[in-house]
Amino acid sequence: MAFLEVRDLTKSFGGLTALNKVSFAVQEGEVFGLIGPNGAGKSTCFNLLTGFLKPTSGRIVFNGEEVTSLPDYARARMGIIRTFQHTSLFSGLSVFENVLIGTHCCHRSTLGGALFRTKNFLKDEQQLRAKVEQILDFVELKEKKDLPAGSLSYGEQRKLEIAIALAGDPKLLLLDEPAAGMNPAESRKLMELIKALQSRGITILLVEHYMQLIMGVCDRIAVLNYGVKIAEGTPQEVRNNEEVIRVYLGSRTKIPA
Amino acid sequence: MKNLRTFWTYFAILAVCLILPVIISDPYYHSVLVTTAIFVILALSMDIIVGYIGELSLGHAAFFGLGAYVSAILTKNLHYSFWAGFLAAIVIAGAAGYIIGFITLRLKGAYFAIVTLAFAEILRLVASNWINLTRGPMGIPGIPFPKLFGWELSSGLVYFYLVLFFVLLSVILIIRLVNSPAGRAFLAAREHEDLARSVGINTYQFKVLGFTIATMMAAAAGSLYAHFFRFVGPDLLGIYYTSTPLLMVFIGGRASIAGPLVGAVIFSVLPEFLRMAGSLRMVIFALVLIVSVIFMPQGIIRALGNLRRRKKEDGLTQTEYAG
Amino acid sequence: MGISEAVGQQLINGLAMGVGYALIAVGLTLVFGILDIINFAHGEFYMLGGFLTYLVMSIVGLPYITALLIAVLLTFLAGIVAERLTVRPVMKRDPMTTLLITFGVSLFIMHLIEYIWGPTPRNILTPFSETQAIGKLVISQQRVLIFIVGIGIIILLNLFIRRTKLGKKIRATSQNKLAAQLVGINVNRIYSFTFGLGCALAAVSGALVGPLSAVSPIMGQPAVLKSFVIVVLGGLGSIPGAVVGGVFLGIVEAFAGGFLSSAWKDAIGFAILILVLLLKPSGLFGAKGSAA
Repeated sequence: MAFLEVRDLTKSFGGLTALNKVSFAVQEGEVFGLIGPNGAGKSTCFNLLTGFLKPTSGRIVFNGEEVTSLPDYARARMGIIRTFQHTSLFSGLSVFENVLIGTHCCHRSTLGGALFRTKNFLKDEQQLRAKVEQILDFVELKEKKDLPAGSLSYGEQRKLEIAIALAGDPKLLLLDEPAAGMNPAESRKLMELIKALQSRGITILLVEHYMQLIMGVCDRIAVLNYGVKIAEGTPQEVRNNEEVIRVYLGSRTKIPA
Repeated sequence: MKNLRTFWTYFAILAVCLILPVIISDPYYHSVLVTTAIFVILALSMDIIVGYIGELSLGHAAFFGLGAYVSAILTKNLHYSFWAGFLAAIVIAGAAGYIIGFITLRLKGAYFAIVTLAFAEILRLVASNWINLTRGPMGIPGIPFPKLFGWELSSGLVYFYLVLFFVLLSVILIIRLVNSPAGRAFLAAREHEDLARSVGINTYQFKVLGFTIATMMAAAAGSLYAHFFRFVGPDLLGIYYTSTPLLMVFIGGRASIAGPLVGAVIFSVLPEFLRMAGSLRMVIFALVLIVSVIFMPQGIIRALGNLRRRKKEDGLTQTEYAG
Repeated sequence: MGISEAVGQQLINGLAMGVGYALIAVGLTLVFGILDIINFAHGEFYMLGGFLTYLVMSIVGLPYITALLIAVLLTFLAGIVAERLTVRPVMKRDPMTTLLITFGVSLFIMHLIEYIWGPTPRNILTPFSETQAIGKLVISQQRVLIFIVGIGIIILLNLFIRRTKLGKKIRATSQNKLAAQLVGINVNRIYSFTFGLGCALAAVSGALVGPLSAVSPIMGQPAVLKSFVIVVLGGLGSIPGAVVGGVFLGIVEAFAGGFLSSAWKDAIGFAILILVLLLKPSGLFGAKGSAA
């Protein structure tokens, strides 16, 4: 069985079907891309996978466990962690605190442990703080750790978002348009970062408009149009798929080689 | 260096708290000190709600008054000891807080504020009308003083130290809570609910937890109040005991220890010196609340801090010019 | 008196009271619908309606109806001033701040009136103190007045919002603030006016209902709580919901007061509030209800 199995996923808003019987499977360790023109149902699909929306019908199985009806935070605890399309940070808190909050589900101690400052609690706390330092080092934000998150530059804020997600030890990381608003240099760095994450053994699913990024990092891609999956395969296969070409030419977006 | 300075600041404050009541021998001022310390607990508990979990409670008096009544009824009518009454007050108010939070905190918007306000009003109705239990508007007088190892804590001086002990306990509780996953979850839920959920925080559950802890602290304050003034009446459930801690927290500064502390001291001590009548005091309180929410939303401590920082920066540019 | 007369009696009493409740609640829900804030000071404007009527009658010596009109006008102006000075500066901040600021306004008005005129409840003597017999039932003329004036005002309000230019602007603002701004509507002025209008509606209710018992500086507190119950019942922002909810609460309270206990009738509303929030937070009759 695949790492993430999506079967006949359907979501209707009132009379409008945003996603219609979409199925795909993501294998462990791969980078999987979800693309399609505006309004194709990518965001809906993304929110269904992360539990921020509830499907009308269909199933989502993660790592052999049914997660279809689990709330968002419970999925995060299983290792399905997402980022957001619009920059989402705890902007009033420091960079360090932001990532520390991301470690929430790695803490094993109880409330009592925290109040009585038990040995286990202190050990956990120390380990997590060290881990936060490591992650900040990895995303190159270590020097800025005491600054308020809101004061970072745009590119740094996007990196911090990924750092927050990483703090929760994701098994499956879902990135929602991570390159949105980035300049070419920043997107290139992002591409390197995604590859580095993959080499750390994290499975990644990303929704993206920016084709160069998709084609550059994805092992496999699924294409949605009007809520229906029209193609799936390697970047090469998708690029040569006639229906995909028609859809993208129709919307005047060229798929670069 | 910063930690050391913080330590000495707290040490100095504690030293003043310990010595002050000995220097002032007037029992009237002892009662002012006790009231202040009780308000510090009440304001700290209010800060958990409005500062850390980021919800507006307009019914904090309900839990303060509930704590006072439970403690009063158990010790006066059923002759339980102060400590049993104190614990029961905390448990019962905490249970009520849990239920209120459970119902309202899953809803967004003003529902929480509305229901907490309504809950205080219901309890006031109960206290005014359930004559057999509460003696209605006449209230319950003659509540016994607490006893510690058989020794009656009847003087204002000794009682102040008892309340001070609970103030310290509250401060430690909040510092440890805030510096734990739970406390960080409160802040996360306040700052960005969706993001908090995306990293596995069940924001609703943590809001209920924070609110429940806050109501337990308010009940402790209420119980301490009842056993010092030895009288409880429906007024304890009135708007005064909600608006005053709210004012203290907003004036002092939300989501901090120093904020509610400073706010509580200012608004307990100042009116005593100005000797204002009850309703005039509230007119001025309300005015100060409105003005400070508009012009000083960060609270007095952060406003002063900003001022000092700005002065420092000004000083820096001046020396640069001189150089 | 037979049981059916008793029921009928409570029904007409409750109906009159319910129309009074509907008036306050419509004001509250109107302000929520347009400005997107819950006005915790709403009860104080209800109190001002009643208390100013008393003051104008006793100080200036004007008759009840004239005093009522003056009181409502003054409350309308007080509402506009309150909106300009307190609500507008914090409009763009977080929802907690707007709630808190109206709570501050509530405390300020209540305690200012109490400080100046004292806490004593005062009676308003109206020319409608006689009772009226309808078949076997008896109703005070004041309640008849509440019913007629209340229904009249709700109909007028409806016509105003649907037919007049200003009313259309208000509706446009409630549906889409940005679009309203783009077509040249001065949104700030609409906010001020709507806030004042909401306060005036509460004031009418206070001036009409006040004479049934007495007016006092603290009469606004239970009133605002009841309006909350009503708007939660009817769905926040829904005017028809507020009318139905108000009449419903009035009748339920009358029955509870008549057949159970008058001391506890005020608690009925809160019990309903908790039940609605538990079971159906979007409101029972709500058209535009929202839990979010």
